[in-house]
Amino acid sequence: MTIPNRWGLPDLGLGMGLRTVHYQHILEHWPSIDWFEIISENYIDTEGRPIWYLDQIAERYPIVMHGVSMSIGSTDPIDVPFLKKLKALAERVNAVWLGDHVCWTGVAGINGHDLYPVPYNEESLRHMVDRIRIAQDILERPLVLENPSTYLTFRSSTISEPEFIARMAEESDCALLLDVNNVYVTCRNHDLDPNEYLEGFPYDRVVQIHLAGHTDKGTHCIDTHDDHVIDEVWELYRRVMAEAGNRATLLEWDDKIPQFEVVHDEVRKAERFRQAATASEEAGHGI
Amino acid sequence: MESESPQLDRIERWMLAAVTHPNGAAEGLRTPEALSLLPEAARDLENVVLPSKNMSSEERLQVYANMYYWRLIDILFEEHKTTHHILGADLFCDLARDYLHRHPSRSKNLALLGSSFPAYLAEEAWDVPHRDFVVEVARLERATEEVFDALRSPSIDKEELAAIPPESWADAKLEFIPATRLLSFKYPVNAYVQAVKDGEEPEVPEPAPSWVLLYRHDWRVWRSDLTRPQAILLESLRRGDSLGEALAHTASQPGIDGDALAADVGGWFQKWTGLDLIRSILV
Ligand SMILES: [Fe+2]
Repeated sequence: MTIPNRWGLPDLGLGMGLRTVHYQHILEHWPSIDWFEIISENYIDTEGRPIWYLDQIAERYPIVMHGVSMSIGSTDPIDVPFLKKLKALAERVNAVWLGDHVCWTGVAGINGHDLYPVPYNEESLRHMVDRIRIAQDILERPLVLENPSTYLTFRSSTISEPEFIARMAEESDCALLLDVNNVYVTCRNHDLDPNEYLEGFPYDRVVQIHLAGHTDKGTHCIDTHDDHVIDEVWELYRRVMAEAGNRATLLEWDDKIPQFEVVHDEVRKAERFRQAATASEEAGHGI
Repeated sequence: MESESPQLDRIERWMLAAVTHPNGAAEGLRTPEALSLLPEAARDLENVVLPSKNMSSEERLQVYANMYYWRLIDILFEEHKTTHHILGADLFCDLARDYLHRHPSRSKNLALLGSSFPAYLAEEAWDVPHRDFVVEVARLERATEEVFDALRSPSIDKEELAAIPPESWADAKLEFIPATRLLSFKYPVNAYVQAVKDGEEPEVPEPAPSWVLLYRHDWRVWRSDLTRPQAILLESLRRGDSLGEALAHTASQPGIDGDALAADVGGWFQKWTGLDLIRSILV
């Protein structure tokens, strides 16, 4: 079965996060990777080397913008100048889409530079839906919001995370980035079953998948993006590809970053699960 | 103004107060601010944060507190490797933590996180060994970050430069590109920074005045030592003096040989224009 996303946004294939340590390699080899994702904040408020590299890379590869500080769940006023900078960057690099996380990153004017969870309840839902609509109006495109890795749950949560995200997406008409590693990490941290988490996830709104490695501390997992993808996460990916159909897939590797080819090989492992998805689809047609 | 989402607003303010406390979340949730927002959390944290099978509510909140300092101290470390080298890891971390507590980030732009760190070391930090020297090293490192991200601007082209009639030079005023900084120090800071980069273990030097020009070339930031006459001349030009005024000002300083200055200045300008440091010349 395949469920197209409701915007008809393309399956970009297999991409990598664009990281400083790989700039030179990319410019020297122009490797055969389908697309790159950038951390948006690394390319605004600077006119130095990063944007010089990005301009050249954006001429050859599709670019997706993924941010970490929109703070769409914060109760601070919406940072309109920041959104305008994002919009300008999106136009500059011809971004295929842009997004951030279902979270807040600061409040009362102070930035914690981390992805903090909101309580999943009706008040938070109203709040986020309103703000997503405003941001989308300014950006003039759908926001692509990602399920975060979280390390605590609030007593005032009354809705499960996947249900909250589904309703948020439906009511604000935003798109989603499903990070299957975050599903695993969050479920481990909250004693949940990742397969149950994915039950009923609104795949029609998912335009992108994240894969990553994490650190298993025994009592909990931390989303460190510093290692290979574990088998359980590949299994979740296989399931999503089988149920939703192929989606633009990106591997995040942000700490202890190995050579370009090591990261590239890791994301290429996704190919077999994508082919499997196509095969089961064809088998389905045959019945 | 009362938030339209009052419970969410309270929980966010409370959580940030808890996880940014330098002594950890347990202390953070007992600060007057946190107590005024969610007093029930201080009575029993499980009223606000649920435990998991393996972790208590406090341990779960502390995960965020650990990440806050770990991540932001790491950014200050990346910017201030020589300061870190002088102070050592423990003292650097303690000072960075205190700095972040007193000057929390107010911008989405992480490049601004350390913008007050040199001033903090100079004026607020408790006893810093070799304080004057450490502050100068931190200033150089901070300025390097600023030049790295500075606005682009075209530099004056050779033809425009050649077209300036010789008799106009004395009245000419120079505008430098944004990606430059002129720094003057009481210590030989650049030599020390370079030695540490080269893997040496230099002693903290005795005071000896030095001047450094920072500029961006091929998207990298370069540090160039200046002589005293060069520094005085450039500083005067940056203040907006004309070339004639700047030269007269420099020549009038004690210990500067006016004839030597007149002989050298042409070569200096050739070098500075070759490095694309000059944006425009007003004649
Ligand atoms: Fe992710």
